Amino acid sequence: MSQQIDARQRSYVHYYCPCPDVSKSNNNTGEDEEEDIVESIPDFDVNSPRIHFSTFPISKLYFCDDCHQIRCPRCVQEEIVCYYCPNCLFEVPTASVKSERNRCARNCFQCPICQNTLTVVASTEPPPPQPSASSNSSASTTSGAPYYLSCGVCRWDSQEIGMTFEKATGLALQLQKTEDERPDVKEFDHLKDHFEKHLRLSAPSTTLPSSLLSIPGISSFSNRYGGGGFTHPQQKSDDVAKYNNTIKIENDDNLVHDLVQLKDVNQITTLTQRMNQLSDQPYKVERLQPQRIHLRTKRVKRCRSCRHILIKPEQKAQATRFKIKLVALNHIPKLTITSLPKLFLNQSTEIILKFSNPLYEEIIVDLALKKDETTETTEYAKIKLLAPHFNITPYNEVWEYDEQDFNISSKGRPSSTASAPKPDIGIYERRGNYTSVKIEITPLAEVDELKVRESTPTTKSLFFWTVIGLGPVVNPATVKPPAPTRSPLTNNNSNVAPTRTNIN
Amino acid sequence: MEPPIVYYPRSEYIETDTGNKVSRKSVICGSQNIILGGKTIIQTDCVIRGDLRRTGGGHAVVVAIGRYCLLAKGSIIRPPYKTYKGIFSYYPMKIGDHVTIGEGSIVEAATIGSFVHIGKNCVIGRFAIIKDCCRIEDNTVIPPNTVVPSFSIYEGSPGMFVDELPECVQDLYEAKTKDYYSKFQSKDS
Repeated sequence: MSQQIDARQRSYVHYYCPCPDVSKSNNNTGEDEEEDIVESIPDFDVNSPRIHFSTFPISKLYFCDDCHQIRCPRCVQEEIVCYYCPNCLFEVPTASVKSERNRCARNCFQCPICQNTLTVVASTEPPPPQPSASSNSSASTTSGAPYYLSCGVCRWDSQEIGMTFEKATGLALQLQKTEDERPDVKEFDHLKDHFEKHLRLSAPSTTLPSSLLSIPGISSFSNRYGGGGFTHPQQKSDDVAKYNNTIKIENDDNLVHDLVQLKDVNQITTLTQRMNQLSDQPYKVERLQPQRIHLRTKRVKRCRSCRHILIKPEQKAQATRFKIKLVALNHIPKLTITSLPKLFLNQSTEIILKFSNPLYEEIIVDLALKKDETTETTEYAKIKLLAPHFNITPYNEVWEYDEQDFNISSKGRPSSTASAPKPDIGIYERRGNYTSVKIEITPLAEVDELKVRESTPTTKSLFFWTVIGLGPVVNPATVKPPAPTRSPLTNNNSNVAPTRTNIN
Repeated sequence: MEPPIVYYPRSEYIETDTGNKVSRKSVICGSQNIILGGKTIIQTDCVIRGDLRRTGGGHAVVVAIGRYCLLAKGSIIRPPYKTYKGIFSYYPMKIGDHVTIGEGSIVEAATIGSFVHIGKNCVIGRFAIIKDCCRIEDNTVIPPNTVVPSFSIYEGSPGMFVDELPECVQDLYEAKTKDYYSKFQSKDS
């Protein structure tokens, strides 16, 4: 019973994005190039470890309308739309992001011990309101000053390091003075002044928008994908004068002496704590200070070949809607495994795959394991597609409101909206906007994870491979099923059955 | 993998006009202060404390739950409390639409947005704010006063940000909760 659940949880359908093979897949228009696409999409080996990095569940994929191709998270270009603080959800204008060093400028701080958010607490509780308060009533404290920060998780508070505030708001501003006095900040400002002159003189006219430049590492993207005009920094450093550092920090000889004398390891900071305070990375826990919280971004995602926008979120930081949302879930059929009985060695089992059509038009699906083959025998299993060619009726929003159609009453009986009255071989069920087909699998090897590769071209000539993981294969001869020895990443005994669906 | 059809004994659940399915074995306190959005499922051994309300007369809503929500077995929903200016009071709690709360989870958050998936055995601390389209993995402990921004995955104890959710998560969770509701069927036992 638990193995059944385990097998079901380990089963998946992942889609393959051929972005590593950049030269082969370009924007084909489609109808007349079906054979070309068949030839051009290379046969891929499910057993290679790199497959794990090229296959994605459909929820993570995007679809470019212009190129008519699937795009994966690795092959989209990102641009920053807005910055916001993940704690106060306040949108920070792009201009002040740089001056605030990508951190929240309000009251959001991170506990130096456990990296959770700190709350602002008053030192003294204001007294409860008296029912009869006269103007002469003794008020012990007017407000709760001084304020301090307190962590709800590890019970750390800023009074331990002597950090208190006079007002409850604008804490970052109150800390601004001490922050500007830090040696690393002063040094960085000097460096900026030194290089700013040269930057302005030799400013290249970049074709990239400035929002792209704020992401580190995006320059390598632009060089690779043909964004010209961004000059290499090495060319600039030739004519820059030598920089002499102005700030000198003394070596702390006492530190070594103190560390040697330590008895308790809890007095030393952990690596995480040290790396969160990059300015001085203290060894002693007393020298840790609460850091302001890093900002998060909302990003626009673009297709890498045609620069068409795939995802465009709304400008407001708190909105979760999207102005443009071209996700694969709305354009290509979604494959799910409806029934997965336990796979036994040398025993032929039928699994049922459900293809859902998200479009408003009918699509015709052609499945194939290899090129135009419907059966395949690899060393791991024998696979037979029982329904290589079928169509899926379009999606109709009326079904959202009509609950009757969605109730699964009896298996195999087509509803009134089904098209083909005559029995189709291999088609298990045709209802609403989905069709379920049967695939017969006979595992020949006892493996931890059985993978099946299918390729699916659509009649608008969209073609994609899918990898279907079916979970472990059990040898009925043994009393207990073998415990999985290797993780699915390394153990790639998989059935590769490329199926192609043609979506019309 | 498609989720299977889940059957429940017809006698155990009450089905309201708006399609809510509430188990008789759940503990619902103060049901006049609880609002269920419609087509919400409350399973066995759930505890909803609608009786913990702030003092003051009138008809106050303590717990408001949206549509197509799922409160799995053994989950506990109680409103958060605070002592402010010497007065102890409970604050109302709002849960959005299409929210799944896993088995055994304890939720004391101030607000939970829509399209949220909370895993099993989670503890959501007091006055936590979970925005729309988030995912809290199993066995996570969210500390009090945490803000979980949209499209994030939180995991661990204390819950930390680990990953971002894809943009289509709204459609995904909506379809998942509707699918679960349609597959949660009664059976005469």
